[in-house]
Amino acid sequence: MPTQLLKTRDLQTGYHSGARTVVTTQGPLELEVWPGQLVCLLGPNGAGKSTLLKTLAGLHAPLKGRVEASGAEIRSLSPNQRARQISMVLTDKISSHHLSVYSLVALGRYPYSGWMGGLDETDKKTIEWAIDAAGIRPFLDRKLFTLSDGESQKVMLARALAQDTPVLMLDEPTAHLDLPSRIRLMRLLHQLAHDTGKGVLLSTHELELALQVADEVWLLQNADSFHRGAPEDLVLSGAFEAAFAHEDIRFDKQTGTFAINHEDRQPVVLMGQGVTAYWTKRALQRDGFFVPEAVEDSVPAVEGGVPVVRVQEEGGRPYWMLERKGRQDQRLDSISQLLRVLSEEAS
Amino acid sequence: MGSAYPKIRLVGLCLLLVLAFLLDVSLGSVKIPLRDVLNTLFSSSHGSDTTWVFIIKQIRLPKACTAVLAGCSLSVSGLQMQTLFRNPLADPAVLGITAGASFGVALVMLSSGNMATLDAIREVGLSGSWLLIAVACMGAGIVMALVLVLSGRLRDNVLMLVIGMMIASLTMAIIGIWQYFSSPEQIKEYLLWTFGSLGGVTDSQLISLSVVTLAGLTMAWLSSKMLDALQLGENYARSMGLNPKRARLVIICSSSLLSGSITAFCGPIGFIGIAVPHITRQLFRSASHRVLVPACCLIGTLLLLFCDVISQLPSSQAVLPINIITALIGAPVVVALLLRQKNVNVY
Repeated sequence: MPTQLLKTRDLQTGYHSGARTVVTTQGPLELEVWPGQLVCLLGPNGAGKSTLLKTLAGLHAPLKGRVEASGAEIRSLSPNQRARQISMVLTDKISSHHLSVYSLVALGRYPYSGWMGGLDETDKKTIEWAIDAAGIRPFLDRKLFTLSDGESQKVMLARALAQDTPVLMLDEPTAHLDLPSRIRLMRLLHQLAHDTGKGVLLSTHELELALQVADEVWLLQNADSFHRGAPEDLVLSGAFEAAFAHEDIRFDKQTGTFAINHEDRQPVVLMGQGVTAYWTKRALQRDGFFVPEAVEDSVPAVEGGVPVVRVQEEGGRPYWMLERKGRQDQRLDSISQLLRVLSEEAS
Repeated sequence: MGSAYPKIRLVGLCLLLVLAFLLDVSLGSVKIPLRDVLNTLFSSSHGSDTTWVFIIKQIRLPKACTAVLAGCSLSVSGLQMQTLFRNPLADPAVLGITAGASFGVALVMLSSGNMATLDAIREVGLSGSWLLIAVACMGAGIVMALVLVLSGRLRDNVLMLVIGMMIASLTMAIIGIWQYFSSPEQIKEYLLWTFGSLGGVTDSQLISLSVVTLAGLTMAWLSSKMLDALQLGENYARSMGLNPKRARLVIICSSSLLSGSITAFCGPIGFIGIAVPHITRQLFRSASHRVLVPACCLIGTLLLLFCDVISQLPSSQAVLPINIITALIGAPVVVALLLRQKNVNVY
């Protein structure tokens, strides 16, 4: 039976600022990270994710309670022993001009290398493995400052992997990355956790991405509100909606995405199924229209003065029929045409 | 990266070093043919003029040796500062560490009456030179610890330099007040010392200076693994198992030994500490301190010997203060480097 890689008991985190004590998570938190698990620590910016992460890594003292890594109290471990339990990818910028990618990854062997940083065969093998696991071989000989944000994040990941620890923690690893790099990194982490049996804990404020890859979500809304569970459970229980509630933004349980609230939105009835209907709905919502859930019959809507959009297909190409009261049906060939016609009408 | 090129470069630099050393020993206000210089250096002198032997063995050789020691010390100390503070403009002079050492020297020179001029200390011999070294190193260490404590609260590279400069001005102001109330002879002695000089270190002092410098360099070399880790910033370094307190202690100790002892005997020599690490990184294209520490010794020695040769104004009786020459050469180098890099935060 597998045991927890990381475990907290009765944990309360925060920091001292002068004479004041700031509590960032009230707790008491009872958390675990299991082998092969990808845990996403979610929360709005400034909710205390970094403090919690640093506390779990043993770099920051908890206000109350304890953190255990592989059974040992983490603050009682020496820095070196701790570094053999937990490796980290931080948000700190590396500014060294002459550091090469390989040397940086090799620094991951710091807790194992000799007095002067000499590397033995095991060290070299682990470095090679980390390079392949993170997929950074193509830019191995380049200097750090020539890499893109996505590439350098992967290099930092490789450095953490070279540290060869049961637990891997990443603080906002997807910040500054473009969408494809974000998705690629998350998938890579997911796969790594499952393939290597490492416990991966990452903090992010990007809920949609976390929903797709996380085995478990820790939702930190503010000091007093902490939820944990499978992402789907948290969606159904309404915890996400509550956590990200904002007057302008709404969490859509149906799709697991955020929508921007528009006041006094004009309704548009959408008839149709499949991919085309899905994207049409998104476009309409983005433009501020209210799209009611599946409607059986379009006649009452048209009679009530609500425009109806019917998604249709002809020879493999979609088109849109717009029906309005007292007007001739109009055929439109793209979503942008549809939006233009509808918004002209609205204004 | 070809493996032959760095080796050729290393051999070339070593040859240059030997050449510069010989040049430094053979040039001076008294003209001595190169053959006699070599004779005196490498064989038990016969045939050479006894005055020449005296000049070479008692004056020029100690001076060239001092240049070697000072070149190593100041550049390695600068390298440590730049990595520890993660600041490309850090060096013992800029951060006020030299000022701290000056304060120690002023303490000895100005406080205890006419008897304690530098000449008097020289006459006391070994114990006197140890006193001067100890006081200067302590002054350097205290200022460095102070800058480090203050900069820990700021986390901003530019502000940290400003703090270093302020501490330097403060220290110099205190010395200024002291000078104001001191006798003219003492002030003259102190002022001459501030111009910097590689001469005037006697045989016995050279021994104490070598011992301290070697100790400092050994510590610096042994701290190269820590320095490598600190390049990634303190947070990463800690996550890799570095003990930040111990690392700082070792680095501050070795750096104050190096810059303090040299400042005690040669005066505040500027620009070597800031320029040499940059030149070395450019030449060796490395960020590993196992390479950089010895490489800095090599380049620093070479540069200071070169400056010393120039300061003797070949074919003239006059000798310029070494501080003026290092500034003349170092300042343009630093400006050129900054223009090339354009970004102060990248080193």
